[in-house]
Amino acid sequence: MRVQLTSKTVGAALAAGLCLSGTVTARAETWFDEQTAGCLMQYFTDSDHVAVRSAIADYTVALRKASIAMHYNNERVVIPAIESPPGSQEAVDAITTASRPISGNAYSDFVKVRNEFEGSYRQGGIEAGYYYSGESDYIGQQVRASVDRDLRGDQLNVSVGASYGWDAIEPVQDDDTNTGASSKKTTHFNVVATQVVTPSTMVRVGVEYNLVNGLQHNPYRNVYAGGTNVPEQHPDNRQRRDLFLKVNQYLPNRSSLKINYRFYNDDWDIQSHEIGTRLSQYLVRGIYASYEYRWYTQGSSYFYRNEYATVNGIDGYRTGDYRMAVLASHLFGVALDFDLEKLEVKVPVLDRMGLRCNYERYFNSNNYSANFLTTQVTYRF
Amino acid sequence: MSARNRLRRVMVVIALGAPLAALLLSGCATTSVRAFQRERLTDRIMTFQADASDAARRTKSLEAREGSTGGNGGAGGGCACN
Amino acid sequence: MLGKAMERARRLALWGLALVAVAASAQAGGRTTNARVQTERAELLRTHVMQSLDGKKSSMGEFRGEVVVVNFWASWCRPCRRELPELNQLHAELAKQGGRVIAISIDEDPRNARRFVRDHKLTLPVWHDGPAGLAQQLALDHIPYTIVLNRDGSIAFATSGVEADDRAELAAVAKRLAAADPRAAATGGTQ
Repeated sequence: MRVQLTSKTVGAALAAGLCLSGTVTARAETWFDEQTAGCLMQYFTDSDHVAVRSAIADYTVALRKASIAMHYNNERVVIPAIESPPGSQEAVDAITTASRPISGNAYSDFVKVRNEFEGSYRQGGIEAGYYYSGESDYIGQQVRASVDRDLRGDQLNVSVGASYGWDAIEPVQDDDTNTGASSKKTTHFNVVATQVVTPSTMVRVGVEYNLVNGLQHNPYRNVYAGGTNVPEQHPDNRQRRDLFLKVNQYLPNRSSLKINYRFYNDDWDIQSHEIGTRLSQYLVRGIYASYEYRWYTQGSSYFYRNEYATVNGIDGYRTGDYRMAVLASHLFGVALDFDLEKLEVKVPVLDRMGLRCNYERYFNSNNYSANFLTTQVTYRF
Repeated sequence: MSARNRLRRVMVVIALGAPLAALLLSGCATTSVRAFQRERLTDRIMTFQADASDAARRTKSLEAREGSTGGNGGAGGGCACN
Repeated sequence: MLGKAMERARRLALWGLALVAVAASAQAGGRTTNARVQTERAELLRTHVMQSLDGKKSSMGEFRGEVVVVNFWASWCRPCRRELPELNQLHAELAKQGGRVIAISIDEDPRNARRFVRDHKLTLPVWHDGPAGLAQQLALDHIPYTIVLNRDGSIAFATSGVEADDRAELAAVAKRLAAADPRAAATGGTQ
């Protein structure tokens, strides 16, 4: 099923949502006790000069026995034009291995807009949600559900979740596009346990499984193999598994240390380890700073090669995707959170707001680096 | 196998398996954390929920730049509120 | 063969009776223990000194002769936050009959409780006792936790339920006690 999202339909959906929220607000005393709205702007830039601007709006309302959350993201991606002179080897390589439609527009910036919507409903320990993402050549949808339950006197919470996603891929046709309309389906399961260990320690452990079927390579990209350009080809099936552990520890001086570890592997032979830490500390009542570090390392897939001797690659698979190769990365982040209510700001409207500013710097072993700059405002009705 | 031996085997499995299951379910907790002791666990700097949307957003960005995924599942835990 | 089976059955019956006897005595012992615990709790409530949000020190003993609904809550507890406006309403109703609701905040920082009271324009008395006060002495497993005290200071009812039925039962008990003749309560109901 393909749905065309235009700015008109998006506007209509937003208007309907706002009207609904207005109706809900009018019945505030009897229906609910918490309503929050937030907007977030994120700017992403990287060493390839790709720029992504995300504008996100969130709204949540807690009813008597249930809660509803809505999320909308409008994302604008700009992939810069090729700068190398036409006919040069650099230009030929860039065009050959481009991950976007390139014919006729290699020397113009490529702009893509993505609209994303997510809604979820939660009642008791049951949650259900729907996700939609639409862009010119890719529509992704997902339904998810989870059940969680407090056990052992609320010391332990166990959650079981599943989701099913179906993506419709219709590459923009140009001279170098090799793939027609395709699809991808993702089935996901997770089991997570959260344990209160001490009055200042919580531990979460979980295991996840994904089964992916369908198109999983870039339909625009070619690979040098056997001395010629051939389309990239990945296997159609992929089983992905991960196990994670998170520990949150409250420290003296009103600070906390969060440590997380994730082990991942799949049947493409990629195996990875991720360790992340976040230290948060209250500077004064109502303001806290967070410092973050993440280390990541992965092995390569069984079909990744720097060069392919034959056009068949490895068992018919060949890739120009650096994500299939050995990779290591680091991420550093710093954030400031402001709770204006706790800061005793006496200005109406402002005294119910929260602000967050976050900067992250990412770089990996491919000489690739990126910056994430995020600002967020939330309002509690 | 006689009924007595069968019963004996079942009792051994239960005797060994029950503590193991309890250990797995109980995690590392050795003492009960009561409601009045949980305020710190509900602080924004401590909850898993406070980071959930940030983590989900970043996972999406990093999935486009790395070969793995996941690590954000789970809901609930901590409050001891009815 | 029959003799052995009968012997086995007799032994099983004796063990069964023994188990029942132990369970019964444990239950009886449990009831005695429960009554003692309730008395101890009532005494703790009567004597423990707390501070209201505007700084006045008090204890429940000052309200002997009134029906008092004592509610333990915290600003970080969502079910507590939802319940308080209803308790505010109950306080207004009980006040006409010589009763009251007192909400005891176990927030570490009283400013969080004060802010919630201000935002929701609550008029019922709110005291602050922190996490290491009466809540710890009573070893509360869940919050909100509500106790209804008789006019003589004894515990008439206690609940940690937050469903509509639980709240309705709590209000019904409090109103019934408040509507009863105070003189009957003072003399043990002989008039």
